Amino acid sequence: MKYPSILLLVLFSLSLRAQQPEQNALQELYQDLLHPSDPLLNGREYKYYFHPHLSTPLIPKDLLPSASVVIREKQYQNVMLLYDTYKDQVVYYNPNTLYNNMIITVIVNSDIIEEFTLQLRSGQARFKYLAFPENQEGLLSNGFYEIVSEGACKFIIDHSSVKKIKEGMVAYQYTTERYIISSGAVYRIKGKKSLLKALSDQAAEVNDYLKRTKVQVRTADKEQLKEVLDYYTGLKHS
Amino acid sequence: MVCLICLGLPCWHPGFSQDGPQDYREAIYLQTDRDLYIVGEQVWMKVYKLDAHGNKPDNFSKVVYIELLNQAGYPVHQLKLHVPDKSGSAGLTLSDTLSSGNYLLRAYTSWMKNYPARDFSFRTISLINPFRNMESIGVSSIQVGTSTDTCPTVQTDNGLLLELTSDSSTYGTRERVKVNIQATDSSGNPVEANLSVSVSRSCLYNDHRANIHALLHPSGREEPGSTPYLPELEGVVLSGTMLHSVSDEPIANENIVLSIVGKAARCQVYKTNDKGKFYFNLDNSGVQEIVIQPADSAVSDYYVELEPDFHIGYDHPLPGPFYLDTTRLKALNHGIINMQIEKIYKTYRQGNSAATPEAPKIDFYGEPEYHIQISDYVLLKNVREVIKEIVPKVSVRVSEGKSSLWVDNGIDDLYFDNKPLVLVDGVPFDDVDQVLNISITELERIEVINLRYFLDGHMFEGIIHFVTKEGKMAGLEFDHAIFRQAYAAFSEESCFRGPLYSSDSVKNSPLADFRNTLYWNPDLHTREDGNTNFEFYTSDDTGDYTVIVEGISPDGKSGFIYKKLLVQ
Repeated sequence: MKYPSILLLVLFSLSLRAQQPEQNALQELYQDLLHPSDPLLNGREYKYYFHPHLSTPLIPKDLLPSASVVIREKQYQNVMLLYDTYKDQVVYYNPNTLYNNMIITVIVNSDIIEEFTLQLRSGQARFKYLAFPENQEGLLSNGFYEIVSEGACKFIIDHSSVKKIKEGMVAYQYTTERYIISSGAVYRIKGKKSLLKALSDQAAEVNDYLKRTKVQVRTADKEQLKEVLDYYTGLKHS
Repeated sequence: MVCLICLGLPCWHPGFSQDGPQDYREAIYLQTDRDLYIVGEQVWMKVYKLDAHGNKPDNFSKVVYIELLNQAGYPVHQLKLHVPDKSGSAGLTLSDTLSSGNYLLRAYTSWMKNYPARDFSFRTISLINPFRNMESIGVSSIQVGTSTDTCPTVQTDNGLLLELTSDSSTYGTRERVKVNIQATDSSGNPVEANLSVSVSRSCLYNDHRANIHALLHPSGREEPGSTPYLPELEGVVLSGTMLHSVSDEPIANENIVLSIVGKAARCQVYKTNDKGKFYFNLDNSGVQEIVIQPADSAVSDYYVELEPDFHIGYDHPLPGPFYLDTTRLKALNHGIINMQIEKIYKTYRQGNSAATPEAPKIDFYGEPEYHIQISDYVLLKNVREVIKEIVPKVSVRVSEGKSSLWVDNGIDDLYFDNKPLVLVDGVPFDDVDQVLNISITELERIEVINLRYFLDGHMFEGIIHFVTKEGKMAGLEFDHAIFRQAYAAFSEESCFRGPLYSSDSVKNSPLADFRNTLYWNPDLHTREDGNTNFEFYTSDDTGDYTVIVEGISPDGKSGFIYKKLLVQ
């Protein structure tokens, strides 16, 4: 009861995937009996960046109970989650987990997370763990990626950080890189040329669309690029 | 919540509410490749999971139980199938100790056990054991079916119309057969149906089957039974009660650990309720040893009562006596000889075999912080020395003649206040002296997590996992009675594979091929245009064969068709 206000905030509400109401009720019963403990309390303790540093690789920058996570088809809302973009770890913070008067933060086991959503400054970001076949042509390793669009091709964003030393202090340089996964191949999207290469089967039409809408691929935000890919999906289905 | 659980599920769960129509009911639709088998053969089965209110394919429970009951209602074979989708399939090898006669296959989910057993799905099959006394078989002069040269097509439908066309009606031996299926509704619109196909010798198929294939409907609204069973939404739910061995009182509100003996640590923690009851979810395939014990080693005086997985008893009719159709005696004798030839040659041919092996399981804790592969180092004298010299962040302390292990926490280089979780081949083991006495030549690796670890809400201050080369706990013995039992969550999977005579080298192979079932495909789906096709190869045996196609549409309409083919 040391943190009553926070406790109120982190009490999560849950919702279930679309099913019949009676199935939902049974699923809730099942979860309550089979997994009665906090499902996010599964993993090892998270080591904070204690050493002097200029920045940490954690997103979002403010820890608020605004994230959601899906575990075993059940969605938990208003939880406190951070994503460590350097270690590719999902960090769970719950002031209820007090041990020796210390709040423990946990790296949630990646294999139980179906997806999680964070409120970033750029808007809401939905992450999923993607595993790539060993023989797949591509640039990416297995890990969590923001999933922006899953139409005729998959549009993902890799949030990562690089460790650097600046003025004798550690600094984590945070970057995002955009990728399209199409027909099993991974394309890094830097500008118009790489986008048209990824969407080569409809390149002429997509190029016309970019001209018409005056979208600059290099500087476009994810919503603008998502609209381009929605247009591409429409072309594929027409 | 605990109080509510103690009051019993029917009082508090909407699924058990008095609003009957809201109750969720499941049904199963069970199909087999044929109706008559010779012992030693495999029964190929397909199950569809349905929402009983409308019989639409559904995907709620993930486990289907299948039992083969004899005429006395006693189960002679039992299977637990993992069915992650709307339908699944299995193969069951008939033991050669079974007597000839009629047997009843019944299929159900755990959730269906809350309702009368007569609402399970059933199919009667007949078995012939030519190596045992066959006096139990009656002889019928009634002609059940006649072999035919006209290769007719017979169809019945419950809203799903199926049409079969083959590239010919007569084939040679080891010849490819191509069959097209078209599925339509009663208005002639194409349907994307989920189908099973079997091709067997005609004498092993009951001509009356076309009349009994209709889906079973639950027998009206029923109150659930007194013992509520949970739906199984992931794997098999292993439930039971932990009790004090002296007083028989439940061990209430105690954290207990389920572990599986093996090279990978797969532990689960559950806090028992007021009645000592626990639930674990298991998804391992094949028989493995499970261990259930309290997380606190001070609680050593206990025993565990597991609840049975399969339904006990029956309130449905059992199969009657088996009458052999005299007109088929010659053909059946032929089938029996085929079975024996096949038994010899099958092992030399790439045919029916186990499904692809399961991917190796990973430890519940993922990648350890420290991994010491014993073979990477100079062979030391004993485990104690290995810990002292090689294993980082772990030390041995001896107090009052007893050893204990301690882990240096990964944050501020101090030892944790509490002892770590010590695992030997995945099983929590508290007697450190015994662990330190494991022969160094038997030890494969040591893994260490020098951080607090949360498992199902329970915290361990570090984990040390000793893995032996055999993965069988190196003969360690607990100093108190523990619950340790062989258990199979899911039965081993098997899939049908017939020989492919596509190349001359295989076609001219001297290996005899006398399969009674030429083809079994439990997972055939018609496309958007209602069409699909399949192909298979005939064997070395000539005679009548029957192609049977059964299935269901997305809106719960069922259909059935069979067509005879002649191999000469």
